[in-house]
Amino acid sequence: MSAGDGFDATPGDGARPAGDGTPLLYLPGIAGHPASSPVLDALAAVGWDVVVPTIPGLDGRSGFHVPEDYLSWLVVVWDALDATGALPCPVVGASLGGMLAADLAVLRPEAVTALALLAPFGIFDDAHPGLDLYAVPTADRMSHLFAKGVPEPFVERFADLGPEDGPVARYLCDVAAANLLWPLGDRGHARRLHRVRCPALVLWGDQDELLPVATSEAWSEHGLPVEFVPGAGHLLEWDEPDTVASRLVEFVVGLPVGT
Amino acid sequence: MGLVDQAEFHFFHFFPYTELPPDHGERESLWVDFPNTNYDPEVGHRLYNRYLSEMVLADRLGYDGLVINEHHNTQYSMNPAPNLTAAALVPQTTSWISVFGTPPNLGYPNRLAEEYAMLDVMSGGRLRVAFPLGTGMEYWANAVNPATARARFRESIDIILHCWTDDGPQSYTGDFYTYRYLNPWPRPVQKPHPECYIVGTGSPETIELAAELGFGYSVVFIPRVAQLKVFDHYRERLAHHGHEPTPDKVAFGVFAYVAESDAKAEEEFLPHIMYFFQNNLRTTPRYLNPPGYVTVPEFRKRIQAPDVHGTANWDDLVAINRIVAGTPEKVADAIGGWIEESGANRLTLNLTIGDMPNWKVVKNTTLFAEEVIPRLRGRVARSDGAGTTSATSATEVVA
Repeated sequence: MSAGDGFDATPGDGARPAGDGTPLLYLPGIAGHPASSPVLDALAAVGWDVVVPTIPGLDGRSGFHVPEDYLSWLVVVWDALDATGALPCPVVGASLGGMLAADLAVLRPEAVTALALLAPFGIFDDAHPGLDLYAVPTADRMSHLFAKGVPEPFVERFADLGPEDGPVARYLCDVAAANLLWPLGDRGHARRLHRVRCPALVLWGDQDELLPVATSEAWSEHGLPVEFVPGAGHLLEWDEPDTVASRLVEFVVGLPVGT
Repeated sequence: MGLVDQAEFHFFHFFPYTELPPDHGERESLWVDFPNTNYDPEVGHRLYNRYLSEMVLADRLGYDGLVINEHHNTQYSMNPAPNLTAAALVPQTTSWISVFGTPPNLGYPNRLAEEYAMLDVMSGGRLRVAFPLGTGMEYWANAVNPATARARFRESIDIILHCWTDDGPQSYTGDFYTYRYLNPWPRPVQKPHPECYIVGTGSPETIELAAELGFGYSVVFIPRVAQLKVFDHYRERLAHHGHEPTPDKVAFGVFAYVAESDAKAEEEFLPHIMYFFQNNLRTTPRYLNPPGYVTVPEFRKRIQAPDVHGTANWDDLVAINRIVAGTPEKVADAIGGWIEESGANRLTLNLTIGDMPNWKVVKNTTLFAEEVIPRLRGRVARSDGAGTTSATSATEVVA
């Protein structure tokens, strides 16, 4: 795609770099990362230096170049992750970020010391197809990501850019996410999850509209332990922050220091 | 010889599937996810035969060409594979056959180059093609990511041109398609290749591509006045790239119905043109614009532009399209005006539309051929000025 199309690249720009503490990498979900969640605050409170890389495209900035294929996407994402200087470390991935985090653990096992996934994409279940988010009117999409109302940061997503540029930023974020997930959000993870070597945990909201909870069976069948979070939708760390935070803290606290 | 009397008139057929269930009006979209259980193959068989006969009739009435296009997952068109339809027309016709066309990025471009070359050889060099990006709806129906649609589109056309113009075998390394032996048989009769157009909605990137390649350009689904600006921009870019901006480089569509009187024409035409816009085109913005299908500049335009798919508002339809119904004189005057205001004389005629019955198609197609085209071709010879018209009078429409 040519530069004139408005999709050129600045990979990794705007990433939150690792600080002095022990880093923990967080890969945001399908709607980007408009604000730090209470879950990330809880992880920081117990001493982790939470690093949130900027995934090109999901930041809504013009100048994003859509990679030609999934392998090219992984290169773009890995460049962004490596730019943070956080790896190797524990990795938490939500939704779309969970799909990318799982592949990081599979394909670069030395980079991931522990893997926590929150309702990850990557495996499509024909028997439980879930909601096609991009067939939903744009204005209604956010409401399907949460079971308990759309949190303020997502209501105001990119609103700071103004009435002309805000919609464009939301469009670019959707383009990036949809490009990774089109058409079914299945990137063949079922064929390679057996290669996850590090400690792993998968949390899943039982009210998830996009990835019905039954979808999680495919992950547990491939050796990743799955736990349900009652009352939570797709972006479960926003619906049930206390439950998700306590379980993640418990998981990472149980890891050897310095992992 | 002038602009109008050198015009070419091409008979366009959408091949709609018109026997819809009684409750179809409850559906927001009749594209993408309109269940194919509503398609009856027996009805389809009857319609294919009818539509092919209407195109053969147009050929025998002397139209310059026949035009078909491609759509998927919809009642709008029964032509998901228009090259099959074109092949069926080849032995029954003598005029140009225009496949306007298959989005080249939805399949393998070498295969499309082969199919078009086959049609050109089979028809003895009567093929013309247009390369559309395809509507957004096509990307819900095919295994192509809409975010890469434009890049694939450009690369696909490049491959097709290599297939047609370069001696094989050759190799090709692209971002999406790679060939060790690009060596398609057959090669087209027409040299260097069949005449090509690009179909767009006025986006600068598409215009630039058409101009750079020296292709013709056809625009759809934007207001008529905006089309005129697009045509001017295209011609400017065409000249910039060293190609002569002749009138035949721009093709535009016309919806027309001819009858004994204006009142009769309106009465016979109105139900079917409304059916077309209200039913055939009914879909939703989300299917029109899958994520990544449009560029950022185009996205900015679209969030401010009216949606014409499924629009029932007559004023919007008139603003966007060239629509005329009336006596041969009225229709000829309107079309002559549109040719003059646009500086373009390659017309695609929608003389059959929506659920129009066969008898009306035959009547309209025959009257247009016998009463309208001769009037337009005789405009220069008629020195009394009766054949001239203004852009204002050209906007007269059924209402």
